[in-house]
Amino acid sequence: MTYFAKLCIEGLRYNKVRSFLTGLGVLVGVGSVVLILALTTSLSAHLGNQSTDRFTVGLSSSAEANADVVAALATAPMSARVEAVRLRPDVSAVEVETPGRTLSVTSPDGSTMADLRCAFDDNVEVVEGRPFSEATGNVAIMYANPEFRESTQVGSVIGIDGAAFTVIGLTQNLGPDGSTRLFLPQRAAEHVQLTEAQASSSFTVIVRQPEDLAETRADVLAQLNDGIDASLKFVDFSAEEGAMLEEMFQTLGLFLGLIASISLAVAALNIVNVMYISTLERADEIAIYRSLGMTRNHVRGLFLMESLVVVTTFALVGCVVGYLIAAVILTLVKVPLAFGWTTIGLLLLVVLLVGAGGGLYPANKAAGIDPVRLLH
Amino acid sequence: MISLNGVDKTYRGRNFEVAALRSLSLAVPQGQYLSVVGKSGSGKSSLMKIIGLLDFDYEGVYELSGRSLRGVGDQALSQARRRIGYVFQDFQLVSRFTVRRNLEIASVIRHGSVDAAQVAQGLEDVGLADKALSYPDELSGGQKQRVAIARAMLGGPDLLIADEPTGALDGATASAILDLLADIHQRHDCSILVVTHDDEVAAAAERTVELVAGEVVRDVLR
Ligand SMILES: Nc1ncnc2c1ncn2[C@@H]1O[C@H](COP(=O)(O)OP(=O)(O)OP(=O)(O)O)[C@@H](O)[C@H]1O
Ligand SMILES: [Mg+2]
Repeated sequence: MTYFAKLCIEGLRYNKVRSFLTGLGVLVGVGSVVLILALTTSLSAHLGNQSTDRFTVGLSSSAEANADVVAALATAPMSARVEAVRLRPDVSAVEVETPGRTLSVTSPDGSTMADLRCAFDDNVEVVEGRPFSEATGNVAIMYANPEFRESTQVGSVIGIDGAAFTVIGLTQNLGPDGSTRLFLPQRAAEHVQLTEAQASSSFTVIVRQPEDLAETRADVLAQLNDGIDASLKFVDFSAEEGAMLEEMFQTLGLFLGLIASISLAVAALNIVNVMYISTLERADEIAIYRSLGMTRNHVRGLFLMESLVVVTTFALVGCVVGYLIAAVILTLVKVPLAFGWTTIGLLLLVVLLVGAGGGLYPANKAAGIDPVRLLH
Repeated sequence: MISLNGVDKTYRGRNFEVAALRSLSLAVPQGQYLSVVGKSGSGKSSLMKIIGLLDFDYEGVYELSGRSLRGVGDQALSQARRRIGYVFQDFQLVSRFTVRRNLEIASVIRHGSVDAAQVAQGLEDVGLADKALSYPDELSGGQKQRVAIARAMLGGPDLLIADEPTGALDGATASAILDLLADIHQRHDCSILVVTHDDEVAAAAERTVELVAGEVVRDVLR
């Protein structure tokens, strides 16, 4: 048996470069499969784990729901419900988006920009035009929104509560809540009335014990939906988000995995090709072994072993290489590597089967070589 | 030991049909040194393929040690081939292995393991103990044929078949190979079948059979 192994190694050394290149194909194939598997599983696991201590719930209304009911629920009862959730012993905090204040503005072309988030700030910096310190009267500074270059220009006049305001500058400042689109000087606060923005209909719940997340989520949803109008329903937004992300990653992984599998299949074909050529080239050698009394099964085994040795060694190296590259990439993006060894084991099994399958045809060819060719 | 009875061998192709052997009968007792002569195409190699268990596509009866091996399984056939040594005109050594390695492979195929003492003795017997680590390409034609004979004789086969063993060698080297065969014949109880064109080679054997167009036309026992 040991001599059999030696013969097999000698067979591989017969054409080292070719054996190496064949193996390289296997390496690349297995390596890319491992890389893709490691990256997609780690990333989706990471995204799944990211929100282990929190979830987002929100109001979902059916299309036929009465707008008044929605509006009513979205203000007073909403805050009461949020407050009730905040007081739960298993909840450590509730984050509600800061509502902010808004204003309806008539733009120069006569159209109305409703619910524009507005703030009074004398010191807002401009990227174009003049700041408030250099102007008097009814003046405004607008957010330099590239999409509204036409309507929001320095010098255009907008209408607020029937009064005309001149836009003296453009800013890239979005204000304290990150969504302010219109700035007025402090002195304008005397005659301009801002409206409280409608409360956001979704909020994030942070639980005390991450391991109780699922339980708390179910309880909170039940609590929120208790006694609510039949056309309304609180749902878990984060779950939907997670499911979407997971689906996306699965599709991506499947697609990339398919490509990697193709390279693996090409590698398998290459094994068939190379081993077949090797069989042809070593026909005399095989004939000598047969004339000396080597059985057909031994010849077959010898060639099969050659294929398997190449496939296994390079597949193992490919696993390691793919794993290392994945580890490096994941370290760079600061995502922990989460990759099951069972997956690698399964993959190696598949690769071994592929190697054996690919080696079978040439091995059978080799076993079929007739020693009679040595006599002329 | 070897017994052929009315053996016909015909090569058939799409547009040809060659009768290589015609109802050939031949008996070779154990230990006999036989030479087979004949013109090119007379059927010498065809006869050796059948006797050497390499060709079973013939009509008639061929028995080796009282047993026909036609139709037996690969296992039994391989077993039987391990008792036959072949020497080919073009040596047929594996060129990427050393001389010793070539013999070791034969040893492992025949006995399942390397019999190092036997390999060393085999090289000693053909006078090439000092070439054990050389590669076939580093040897002369005569030396290569000695290695081939050593390989064929490994494990003491019952039958040694040599098809034109001196065909690729010059006169002096050929005589040395003949001496080696004679020496083997003296020391081993093994039948030797030598195919040759050369009268000198033929005369070295105890018995000479001449073939013409697949038939035995002369059978001389010295
Ligand atoms: N594989 C084959 N296919 C077709 N015809 C063959 C084959 N082998 C041999 N023959 C034919 O059979 C006849 C006998 O051939 P064989 O090889 O036995 O002759 P030989 O005596 O060994 O000749 P040589 O001295 O040239 O080696 C020849 O006519 C040859 O052409
Ligand atoms: Mg011939």
